[in-house]
Amino acid sequence: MRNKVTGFVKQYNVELIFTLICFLTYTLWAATIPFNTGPDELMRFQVVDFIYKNGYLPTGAEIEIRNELWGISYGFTPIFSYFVSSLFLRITDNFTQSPKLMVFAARLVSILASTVTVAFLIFISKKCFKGLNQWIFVILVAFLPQFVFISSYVNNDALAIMSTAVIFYSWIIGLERAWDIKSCLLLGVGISLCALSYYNAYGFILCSVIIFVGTNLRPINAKSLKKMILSGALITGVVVVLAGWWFIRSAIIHQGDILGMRTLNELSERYAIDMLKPSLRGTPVNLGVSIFEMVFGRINGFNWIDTSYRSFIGYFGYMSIMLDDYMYNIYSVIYLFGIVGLYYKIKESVSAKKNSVEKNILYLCIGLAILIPIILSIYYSYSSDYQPQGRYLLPMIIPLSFLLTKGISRFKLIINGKIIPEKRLIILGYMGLLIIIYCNKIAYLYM
Amino acid sequence: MKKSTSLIIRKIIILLIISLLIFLINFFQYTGVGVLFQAHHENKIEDFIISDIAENQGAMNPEASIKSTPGIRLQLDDSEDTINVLEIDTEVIDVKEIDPVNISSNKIMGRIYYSVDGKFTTLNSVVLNMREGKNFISLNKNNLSELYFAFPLDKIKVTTVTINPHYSILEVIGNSLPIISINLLVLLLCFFILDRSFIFGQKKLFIGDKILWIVMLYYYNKFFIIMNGSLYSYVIGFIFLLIMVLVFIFLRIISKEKTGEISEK
Repeated sequence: MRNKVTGFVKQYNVELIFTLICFLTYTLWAATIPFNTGPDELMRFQVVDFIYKNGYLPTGAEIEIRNELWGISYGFTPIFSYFVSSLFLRITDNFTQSPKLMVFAARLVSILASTVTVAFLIFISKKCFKGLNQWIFVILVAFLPQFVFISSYVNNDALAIMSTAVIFYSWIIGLERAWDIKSCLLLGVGISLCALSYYNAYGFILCSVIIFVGTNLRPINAKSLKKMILSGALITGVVVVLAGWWFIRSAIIHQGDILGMRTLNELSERYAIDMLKPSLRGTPVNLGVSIFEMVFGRINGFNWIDTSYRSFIGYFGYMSIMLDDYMYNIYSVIYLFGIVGLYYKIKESVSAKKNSVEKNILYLCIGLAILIPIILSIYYSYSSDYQPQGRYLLPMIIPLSFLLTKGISRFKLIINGKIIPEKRLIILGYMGLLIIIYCNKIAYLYM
Repeated sequence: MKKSTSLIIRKIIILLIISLLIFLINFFQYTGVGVLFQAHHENKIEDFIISDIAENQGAMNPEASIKSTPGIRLQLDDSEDTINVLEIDTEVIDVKEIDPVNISSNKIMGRIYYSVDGKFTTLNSVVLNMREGKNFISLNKNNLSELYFAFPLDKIKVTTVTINPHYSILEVIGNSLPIISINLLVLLLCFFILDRSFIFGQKKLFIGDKILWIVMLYYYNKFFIIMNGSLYSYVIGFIFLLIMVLVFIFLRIISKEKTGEISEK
């Protein structure tokens, strides 16, 4: 047994070290950031606290968890993440009741979810990339400042991204193993976690259906149809068992409102202060602004694209702590590098017709998984609450980084006959920047 | 004295000097510039509030007036639609000189240092809210803040002030000794112990690695000075240091990997 462990550690030393770095980094941020300096952390923590104190799940309408301004709570949306946080609170309660440590215990779910995400990113990168490109893909996600930020306070986003990592990996091994039992089970678990996390990530569920059906029905015959139905039943079974309870419960307590959104709006209309009632809220749709104007123009001094992009990279607190311009520029250069490389890669693939149909379906779904969160975020800003926040776009971070790494992997900079180690620079720059951001932005929050 | 021993002693002295320099650069930067700001807004602003962030619901709760910050007052100038920030009580805050501040494309960055009763100290967070509920200014941290404005920049005027933090010589020594010791330990760890062939299979550190370590230490010192030296800050500091060491090891290992160009499977 000991030899096995030693052998495992020796074989995967760099992967283990990297995962440990990520875990410690997320822990460091979580230990530094004061309570309620992440978006709506207080409201989310109230749900955690409710479950911890009462021992049952809230319906969402309880006065203890309802925000007095908005008239709503986070009890209507899936609360799996908060439920696990409450378990951590119970464990911590046995040792201490220090408020600081209780908050940290609740944040542990985000830290662990993101660490698991990193582990899955490493699995994916080992399947799809070689050499330093493996690490570029992992680092583009794991060390993105906004990703680190959401890994360090109480929220659903970290779990949502973890579920997308599980689903993405299941796509890769599903294609590799022609959807055997293991890949189907993993996809089922991924979809369940996704369903129990955040609506913005639901695009992955749609994409999973497309990729599963599209790749299973090749060629279209009775045998492939039968296999698809059986595998599909297995995945559905896993999802119903693991995630179905939440939606059945919502349907029962909210009179058929499976997602809880209608009830949430009704409650907001009834209890919110006037200016925040859905019917009176100053949303672009209520103000008569078109979607085009909202996305490309300025509302309240904010340009939707610019603010969403910046907050996708890093914009902390209640959208009040911005990075320095040069930092955004560095990330933009890396992204541009990836986009240019990707353009040439697509051009080559199309002209050589070298991609299989399965691979094309995979890339189609990757593209959709990027587009859907953007569309949902625009729709939300337009019709519900004008909030150009990058965290609503974060479910696309894994497919986006995957494509960017494909683009970056194409490059080999040669100047005066020497290979420029640009990939090492990207890795070094990404890790170094995060340390600077922590010292320059996050550490000040602690004081 | 053996030649190798004198070489080691010389190296240690060089590292000690680097440790000291890293600390001192940070320390004197920390006692730098503050910001006074005046913000103009195109809409008429009826009122604004300085409040404690912990008791504030954020930008959407304009009624959350709690307490003002000692030594600093904001005023609304109705005649010019201007928020006149600040009226500084020079009895409390020692204003030395005024400089312009950098204004970038979409934000104003500056730092505010407060000093109460002649002692450089940590104050409560402040948030400036406007009644409209749309725009807000966040002075998000105590004695060292960065300011972000949610309205057009051409209408904002900012000036900076240098504030004397009133550190005594004893305080400087007290603050510096633990940090310089940590610096020296880290450099020794990096340049002597980790730089051995039995760990990495290569004898010498690249010059890039050495620069990386010195840059990291610079930020580590900055971080430690900000943290004010509480017990909790030492725990956080230890995690930070551990991450730095692991990052160093990780980078050393992957440096040996092939670059993997054009590697799509």
